Amino acid sequence: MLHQVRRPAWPEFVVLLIISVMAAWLVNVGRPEPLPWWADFTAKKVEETTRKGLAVLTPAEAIAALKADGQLFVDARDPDEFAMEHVPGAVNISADALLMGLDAAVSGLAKDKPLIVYCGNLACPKSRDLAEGLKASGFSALSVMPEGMEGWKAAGGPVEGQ
Amino acid sequence: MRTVWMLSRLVFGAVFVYAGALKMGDAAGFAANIFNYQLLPAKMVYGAAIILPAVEVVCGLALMANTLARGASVVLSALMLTFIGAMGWAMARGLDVDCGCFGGTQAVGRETLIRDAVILVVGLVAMWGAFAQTRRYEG
Repeated sequence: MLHQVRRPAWPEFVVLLIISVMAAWLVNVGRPEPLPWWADFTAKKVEETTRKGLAVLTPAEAIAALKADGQLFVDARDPDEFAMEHVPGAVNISADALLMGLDAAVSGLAKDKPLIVYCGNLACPKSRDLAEGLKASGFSALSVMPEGMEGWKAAGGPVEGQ
Repeated sequence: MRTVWMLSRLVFGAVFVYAGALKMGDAAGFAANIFNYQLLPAKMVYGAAIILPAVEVVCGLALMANTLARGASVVLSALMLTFIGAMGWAMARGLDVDCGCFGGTQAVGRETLIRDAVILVVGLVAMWGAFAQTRRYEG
């Protein structure tokens, strides 16, 4: 008589999961800056921006600022992304300008001009990087909108582009 | 057939060990990738970025070593399916996201989908072999 005995596979999952959690924990505590296991990614990104001494605007605040005079939106994304869609009236200073020569890219801008810098979304570092560069080269009225174009559109902000 | 299974097991395992190690090296960047897919609540993004690469490396190594191979092949195949699903979802929604597959900044697209589908086929062969092997030994 054929008699087939099979070990169940589920204990293998349990063992692999336990080892994985232990490995994850070990690797994480070994990092110079361990990541939190449970933290709001959104809040963390905003906090990183303010920690760099940059003012932060929510999309709703930025939409209100668009209606006020004298604000200039700076789009830190690549030119093709900018061409597709951007905040009305925004200028495109790609974060690549940090490498290519920022002074040439901002030569037409007054240093006390209030600027609102943004990029794609919370995950993209370009707005923070560019704002830091602008700050270092003497721009004094800087704000960052960390939620970027995605947050802007989600909050009902108007869009210009192709 | 045994050679095919062994090769698929080694290749599938190695792909995950490699991908997992790259993600471990840049966990904060991987967290940003996960966040961009907009599939997980913002509070779970960091946890996933910590644990997923470890699962990939541990299960990849187990599969290569032919230890706990059934569990490892099922977990990795399920992960691969999830990645493919997430990419398809991102493409369907028109999200401009980086794949986050092997570190770097490769955008999600047809190419990454096809590549992952091929890897999944290799994974399914590895899974079939792992279960067949157990039957042979114990049947």
